[in-house]
Amino acid sequence: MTEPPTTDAAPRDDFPADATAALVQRARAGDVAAFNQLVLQHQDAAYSLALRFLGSPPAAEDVTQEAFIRAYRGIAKFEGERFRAWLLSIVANAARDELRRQRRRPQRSLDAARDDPDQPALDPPDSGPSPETSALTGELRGQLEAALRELPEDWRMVVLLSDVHGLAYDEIAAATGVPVGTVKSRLSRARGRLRDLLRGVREPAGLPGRLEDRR
Amino acid sequence: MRWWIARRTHDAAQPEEADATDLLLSAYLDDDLAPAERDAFERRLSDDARLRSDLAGLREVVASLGNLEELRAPRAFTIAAEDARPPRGFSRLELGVRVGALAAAAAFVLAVGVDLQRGGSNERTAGDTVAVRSAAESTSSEYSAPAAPAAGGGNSAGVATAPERSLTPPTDTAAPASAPAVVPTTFVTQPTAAAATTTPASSAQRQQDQPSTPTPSPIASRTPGGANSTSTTTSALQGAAAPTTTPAVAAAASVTSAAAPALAPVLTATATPTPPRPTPTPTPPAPPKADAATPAAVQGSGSGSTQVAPALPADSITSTPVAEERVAAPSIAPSTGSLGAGIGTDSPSGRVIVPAPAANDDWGQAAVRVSVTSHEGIDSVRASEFGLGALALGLGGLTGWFWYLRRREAAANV
Repeated sequence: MTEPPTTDAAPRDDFPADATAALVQRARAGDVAAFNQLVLQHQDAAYSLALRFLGSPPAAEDVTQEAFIRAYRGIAKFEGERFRAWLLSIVANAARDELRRQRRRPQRSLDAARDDPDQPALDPPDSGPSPETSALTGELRGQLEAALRELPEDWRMVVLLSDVHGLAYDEIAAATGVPVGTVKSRLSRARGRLRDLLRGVREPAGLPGRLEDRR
Repeated sequence: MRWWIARRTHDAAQPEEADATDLLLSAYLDDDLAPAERDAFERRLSDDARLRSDLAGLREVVASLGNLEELRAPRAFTIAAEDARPPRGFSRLELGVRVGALAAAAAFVLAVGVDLQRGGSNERTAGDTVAVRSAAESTSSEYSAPAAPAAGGGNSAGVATAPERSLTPPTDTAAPASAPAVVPTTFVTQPTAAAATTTPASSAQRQQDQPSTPTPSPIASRTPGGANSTSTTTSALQGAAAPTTTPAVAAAASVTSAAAPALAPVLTATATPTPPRPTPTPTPPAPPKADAATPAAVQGSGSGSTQVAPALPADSITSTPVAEERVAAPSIAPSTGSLGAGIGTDSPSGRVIVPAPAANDDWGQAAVRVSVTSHEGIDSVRASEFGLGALALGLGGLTGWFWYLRRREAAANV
């Protein structure tokens, strides 16, 4: 039995390479308008990566804006060909910085806010359906989004960059600051964990997934 | 127990095996296997239904992730030119750290430079004021000056030098029986021409207030004597009587003794033989009697630091502690004359100053000042130098850390 290895995670960089390169050149020369065209081209991808990694729309907005500012300040040093991968690596760094910042900051208790009548009602970020709830709805996307949030942060970032945004191993390694071997290891573990999570959702009372076998 | 160990081993091995399989499956999906590895893996796939199931699940995950649509950004993230301009200058904290580092470094260099300009030693220059206490007040001192082993080489003023000694405070041991006879430190405040600035009135009044009975100095009594120190002081006193001594140099003859720790009390003892002719200083009215058989001894307060002066008439020794006086340190500039070379050996902890008499003084007017000056001030100066140095290093390290963070941030941005 021979199954050709296939991946459906195609790169989302649908913009013409020549047009992007021209905009990059103008942006490197200090043309803010040209850079803003690049922003408009790639802001959805940048925001998606930030939101899926952080899980919080306000934080994702901040991170995306911060990433574009960083990108403009550092575009003079950009010499690669894949602007999208370079931009997403900046988003990844900004998102990880934001996550570290959130950990350092004392978090406000939702229960305390709920008990305080003077405080406005908090609008917690949509954490999405739990795997069990997703199983009931049967929506693959929701299951996958929920399973992504169950992953460790390092694994989540790698699998997002690889399978969602289509970055190569070396690009992920450059973006995350880890060796390529670590990228491969994290990617395989993340995929295996997602498979087990999804399998557990789909077969809650049936055959246990491999994750349950391991524990 | 064996069952527990076996179970733990089994549980630990399972994830590793599963991870290895997933790593192989993931690499196969990404076409990251070498041809030989891929062939071997495909043969294994054909035989293992569980492996095929795992591969199918993994392929579904990867395909599903690839089909996730991009989320639409809630707003445009375009930037303005002024917002994108990199921040100029430093943050307040960074600027403060840099300025502080520069100031600390400048202060450190200044302090070291001043110290080096002073000769890099513990010398005090003329005009410095040293606190003086009487030997009687320093009886509680546990510290002592070491012996001056040899006379100041060839110095006619007899300036004795002492080698550096251990700073360890000596134990309170009694003087050996064989030690030279020790005269109680019978001192009189004798403001000589250049050595002391004690006011005569206060000195005389103090002498009247003090009991006339000589009090053996506990420091001296616990100080073992030594031949070297004896000869040293003798030489010093003889040199002090040299008629060629100039007034300027008279106060310059000093014996610097190693030793007393930094916190040793300041001790100044002046033994003045009975002056044969009047001096500007009022002579104490009732000099105490001393043992005639005992030579006048000037004790450096310390083990082995006995400095015995030549035998003097017993009635020529007066004693008055010079309590809480502040006297101007004698000039010890080496260039002041032939005796100027008699600067004592530099000591990290103290020195004994034996000023020579004025030129017109004879031996009887020789005032021997034994001064163990505290280096508390000097130590504090050096402590401040080290403190400034440490501060400079710390601030420099912070500056370097800021620099590293900026570089790292710049690298991460690109």
